[in-house]
Amino acid sequence: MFSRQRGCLVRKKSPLAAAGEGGLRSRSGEGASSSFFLLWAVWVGLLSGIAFPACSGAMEAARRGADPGETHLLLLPPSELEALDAPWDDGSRLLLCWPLQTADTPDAKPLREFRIFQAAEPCGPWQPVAAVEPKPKDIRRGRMEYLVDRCEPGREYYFRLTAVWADGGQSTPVMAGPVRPVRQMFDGSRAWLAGFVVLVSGLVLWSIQRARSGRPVHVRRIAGLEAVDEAIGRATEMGRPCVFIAGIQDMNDIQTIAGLTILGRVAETSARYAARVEVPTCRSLVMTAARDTVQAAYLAAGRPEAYRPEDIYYVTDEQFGYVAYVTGQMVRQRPAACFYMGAFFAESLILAETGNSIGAIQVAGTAMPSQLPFFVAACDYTLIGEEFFAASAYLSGQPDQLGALWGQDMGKLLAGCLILVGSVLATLAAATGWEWLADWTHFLQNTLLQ
Amino acid sequence: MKRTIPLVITFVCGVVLLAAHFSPYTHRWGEAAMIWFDILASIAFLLGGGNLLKVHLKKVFAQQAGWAYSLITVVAFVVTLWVGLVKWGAPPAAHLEHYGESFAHVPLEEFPFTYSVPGQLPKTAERPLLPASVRAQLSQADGQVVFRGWLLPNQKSDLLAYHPTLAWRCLVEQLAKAAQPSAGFRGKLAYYPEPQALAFRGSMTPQERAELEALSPSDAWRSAVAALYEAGQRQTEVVAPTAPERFTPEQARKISPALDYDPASRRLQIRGPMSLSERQALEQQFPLARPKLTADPALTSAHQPESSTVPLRPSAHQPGTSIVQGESSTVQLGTANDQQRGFADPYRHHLWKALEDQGPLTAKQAEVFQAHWERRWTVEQLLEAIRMAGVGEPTEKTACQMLAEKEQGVADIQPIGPLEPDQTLRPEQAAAIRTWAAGPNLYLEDLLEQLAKTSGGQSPGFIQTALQNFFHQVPTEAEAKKTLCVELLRAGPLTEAQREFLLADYRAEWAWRTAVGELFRQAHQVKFPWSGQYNAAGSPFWWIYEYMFKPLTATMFALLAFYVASAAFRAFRAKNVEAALLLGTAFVVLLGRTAAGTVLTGWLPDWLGWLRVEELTVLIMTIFNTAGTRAIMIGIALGIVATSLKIILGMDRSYLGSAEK
Repeated sequence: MFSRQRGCLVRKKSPLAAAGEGGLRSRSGEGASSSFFLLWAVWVGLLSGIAFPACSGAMEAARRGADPGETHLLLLPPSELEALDAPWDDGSRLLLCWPLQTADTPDAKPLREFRIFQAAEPCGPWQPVAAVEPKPKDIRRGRMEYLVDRCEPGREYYFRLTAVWADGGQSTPVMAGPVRPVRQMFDGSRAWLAGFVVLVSGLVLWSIQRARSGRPVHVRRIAGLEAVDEAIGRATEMGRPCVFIAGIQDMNDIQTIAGLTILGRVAETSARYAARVEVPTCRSLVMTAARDTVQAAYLAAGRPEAYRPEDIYYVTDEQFGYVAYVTGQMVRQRPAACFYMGAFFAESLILAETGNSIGAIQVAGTAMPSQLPFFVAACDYTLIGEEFFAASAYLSGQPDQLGALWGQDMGKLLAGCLILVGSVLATLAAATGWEWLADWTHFLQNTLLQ
Repeated sequence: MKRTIPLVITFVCGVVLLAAHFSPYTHRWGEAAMIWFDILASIAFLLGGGNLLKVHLKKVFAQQAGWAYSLITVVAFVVTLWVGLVKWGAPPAAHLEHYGESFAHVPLEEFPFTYSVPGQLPKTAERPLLPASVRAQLSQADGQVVFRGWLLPNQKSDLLAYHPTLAWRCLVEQLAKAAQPSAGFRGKLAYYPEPQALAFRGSMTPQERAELEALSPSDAWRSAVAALYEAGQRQTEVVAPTAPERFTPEQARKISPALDYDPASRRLQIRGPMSLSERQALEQQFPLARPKLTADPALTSAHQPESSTVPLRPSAHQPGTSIVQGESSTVQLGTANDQQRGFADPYRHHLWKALEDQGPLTAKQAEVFQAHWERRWTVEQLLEAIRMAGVGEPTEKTACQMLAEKEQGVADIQPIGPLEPDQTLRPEQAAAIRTWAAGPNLYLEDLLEQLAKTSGGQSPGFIQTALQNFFHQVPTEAEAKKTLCVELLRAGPLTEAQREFLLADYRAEWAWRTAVGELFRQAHQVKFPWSGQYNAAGSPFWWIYEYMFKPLTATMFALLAFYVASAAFRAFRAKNVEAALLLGTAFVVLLGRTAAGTVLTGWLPDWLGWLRVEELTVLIMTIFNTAGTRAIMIGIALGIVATSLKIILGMDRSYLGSAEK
């Protein structure tokens, strides 16, 4: 169960790791796809290995000797202190652990708290770090741990621990050190997140590969995207321009990039229909990127001469200054179609209502949940969240792009399963009061999904 | 190639940002990538600004529809850019100005003084660089740590924090002791490495100039000394409309030998720059606010037991019974106890009488007057502050002392030494304080003089510190009367004469302070004119922002309320079952957020409590709404992962305009 690593015992296998192995066995022999799940299961096993070192030697003995039912805390003075580099971190933390030894001898006294001090040299001067009290869980385990943060990587640290008794007396201090925090290659606190990123990315890539191999991919009809052609056609018939707004964030926002993706399609259709698209932008970089996008779209449509760079222009970075300009322009020019694709905040409703008041056909898409109701209320079509990101694949119609959507669906299935498992665990834990179920729920909530 | 480069940049940036999120080793790469993005965005702003001017000027010159709006945009853009870029009217950053000092440029390499102590620089792999504040001045040579310049307090702090071992900290202490100007110039002379400036505090005398010039034959040094001397001889003067009653030429020279005052013409002059402490001393030439006297000073001092040190506990005085007699303006000053014991406060009585003589006062104003007086400081508070300052504090050991202990083999070094002995106020000094507090005008320097006379050879350092700290929080009498005037006006009307009586002193004090402030400003040599914030309060940019930009954007935002109403009207029309459901839910939530909702269903019994509108609102928002929002959020998160992956790997190139390779 435990193996020695740098003088401490490291937990090698957790119940989760066992579950991971079980999962591996059940999926064995399912062909090429099983290799990916094999990797995933190995990753899960590795994650469960990224546990904090546990106390060794006498501490292990003390753990066995500790009485889980002990409620009156009569403790022996701390006999030793271990200081270790906290594993899988950025080198800013050190882990201290010491045994909690209960006894019926006169040496055992009621405890008030443990006081921890640190120094750069073994002779001091000692600076107080913390005063900690053991929790019932610590008493049951027979050991205590404390994570010292804000350390400097590579610097030597010494620690001293003293028990302060209820009567105000103090035990003989125990020391540990030197110990140096070391910066690791991987941040263990984000291990599960990395696992999920790898899993979902793997699923997406696998599904793209699957689609490329010729497996048909069914994508439901997205009305908002179907309406793009209709809106541009209407603008052409009416002889009025279209307005495209790529949100008010810069190019480092994924929603802006997704918006520009749709702009490419809008511009290409406009070029074919000989309609004019006006793109007022809120950021300079978006303006330059949008110009490239539109120019390439006109080229793809076979009408490079119709491209007008002056239709894509910068207004201002200021949110309401931008809104004032765009709404004023909309009221004066009365465009036939308005597209709002990107990240929006309070300006969403002002823009959409103005567009509504001038009778434009409006299509919106955003991943800002708080703005979705406004767009739903004021626009003709709205791409909600993931539909907005699926637009690129949907509009391209390419199998490898569409395959990615299937991968996303697999991700949703995984999320659904986790929700289901979590709900069942939490319900059972509350109904039965079993601690191990509560621990699993806590693990799921605070470690796995942190 | 035009497509390959963006794709490569996208791939590299994406991978770096991903790695930076999961690997501590690459955190800095991620930060660097973000900084590069910011630089790129800043450069792109030039494109944006240029584009804005181009688009709108074109409209203006062609007189297209809406050209007037474009003209306003261009003018606003140019004006804002100008005042922001040149920081027009923005004061320099106070923390960089080194008030009271003159600067002269001396290149670091020509600074003639270097200091060294034996030791090694503790460079480690994790911290290869020395602190930025000393990096140019500190070096290692022949087993010595060499410092060029004079070590400033902030540099010492940086070096102490650089490495925690006692040996290094002791070395820094030794260096800080050695790398200082000669004794006669300590506190006056400094060298700042960042602007590479030699600084002199106050006005340099010819003798000081000769001494400084003799220190080094370097031309750069001598010309800097000459420049500092010249800067210190510059005369600045202002005419003060009023002057404090006791302010004389001797008093001015007591504050600083460079100060001069001519009572006839009321000209206040200074030679060289003025320091903040000189400015403060000049401003504090007015009597302090009078205390709330709780006992007759004569009686108190007469009954003081000889053996005791100070009557430090607050007196048993019970602040008062009501001073109001009905609704009339007749009031009884002092508490009933005070009256019986003969402990009346004559100044309070005088002030009230003076106010009464100049007009009627209401009962409420009488209450306000008493409340104002109750808030004034007391002698007991002052004595307690002095007692607290006299309590001995533990001495802190130096690193060299602790290092010596370590070398002697001390196993557990304590950073704290023995407690300093307590210092107490002598009974004569306590009596002097009480007598001073009962005097006509309270000047701190009078009190310090009296305390020095009665000190009996005892060092008054702790008393002086305690007094300065205490009276730093006490207003002047003029300020206290102004506050009283405002409070009385809130409670009722005051006559012109009453207002004049309460405000005249403050007006004079304000005029004097303004004159001192003007002298301070004129005497100051600005070191870094562009160091202030472009939007500092009072600057033209701030005015544009506060009084034009903010109201305009607030107006735009306020329009949202009307748009919400019109959108809600359209969305909540019950055209079908879903719309009716939406309408019902919205109605419940809206009602639940108002007081009316609580009132309407408050009558429901407890067993039907879950049907109360506010409870239903919470249920809808926390269960149904949260569930729906989370579902959308999960979809968005997965969409972001898939889109990012496709963009990083170059599978989705449509944002470049086409999916074509």
